Amino acid sequence: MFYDLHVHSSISTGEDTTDELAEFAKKLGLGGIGIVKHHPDIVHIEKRNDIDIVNCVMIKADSAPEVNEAAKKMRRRAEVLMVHGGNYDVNRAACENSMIDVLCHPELGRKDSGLDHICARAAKENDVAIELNFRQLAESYGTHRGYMLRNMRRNVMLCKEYDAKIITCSGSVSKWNLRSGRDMCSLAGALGMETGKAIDTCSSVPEEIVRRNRGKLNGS
Amino acid sequence: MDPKMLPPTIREKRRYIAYEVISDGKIEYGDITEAVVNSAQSLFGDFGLSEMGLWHIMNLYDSEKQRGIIKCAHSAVEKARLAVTAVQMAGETKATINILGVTGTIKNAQQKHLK
Repeated sequence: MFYDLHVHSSISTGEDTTDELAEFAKKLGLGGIGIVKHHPDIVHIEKRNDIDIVNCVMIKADSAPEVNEAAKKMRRRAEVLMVHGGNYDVNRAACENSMIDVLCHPELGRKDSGLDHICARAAKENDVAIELNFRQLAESYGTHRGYMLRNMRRNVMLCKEYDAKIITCSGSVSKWNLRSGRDMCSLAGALGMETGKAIDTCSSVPEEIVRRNRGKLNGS
Repeated sequence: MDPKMLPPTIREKRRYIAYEVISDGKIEYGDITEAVVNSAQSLFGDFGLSEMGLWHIMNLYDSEKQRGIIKCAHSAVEKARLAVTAVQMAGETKATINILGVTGTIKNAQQKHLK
């Protein structure tokens, strides 16, 4: 079952409602989508029978202490806890915090990849997945796109080296940004992952994160 | 704070292309960077450009002799050479880039080709 854990609906910065996104995702063959809200906004999301709706919370912070503080507050209220990457201090704090599930686009707005071997090792130890964001690829162009791909490739290389988890998400703000699971995996495949492992970045890895956190939230 | 430098065992291997620019007028650092990146992009596309990992080293560019060093991934030296060689214009001036050699370290490139 394919999951896309990074989808913005109209309750955060997206254009379409959760229902519209869910219908479109179903058409594309996705088994579940993660509707992202920004910390500290908490909105209740209706679950559906036909597609798995995952309650994701994104922490957008400027410093490491802010990440840790927000993670403590939000952990019990989110099925998947994500951090908005880009700042190196924030990236590292996210990798070193076992309450965080996903570090999103660590290379966002940077000249370098935003991760080093210390972060990659910490991400492995704390079970934090590093995200490859498909929208960044789709919406960038020219030289910037070349440098962004290079940074993503470097992050994939680091994660492979230290055996850290990678997930591929669409990062969509509208239903037109959504992609089918197998198509999203092609980004991980093109950046140097073996096909099987690239497919896992959209299927078994996010599924495992969701299953583990639901188990914890239900007290099992 | 910036990411730490990776340990040598997992650092990507690099090659350094020493070049000289032959032109009628004076060519600045930025003109060459733009020309080389545009050439690589038009030849190999955005994805190819990302694989090459091109980096024009700023403080090693000698504007008098018009010589400098371009860093690239060791797996894409031939592509990088081709992209550099394909340059015909730098800024507003007609120019050609002559590759002096490819080395494994900056020190070697400086000693062999830039002195």
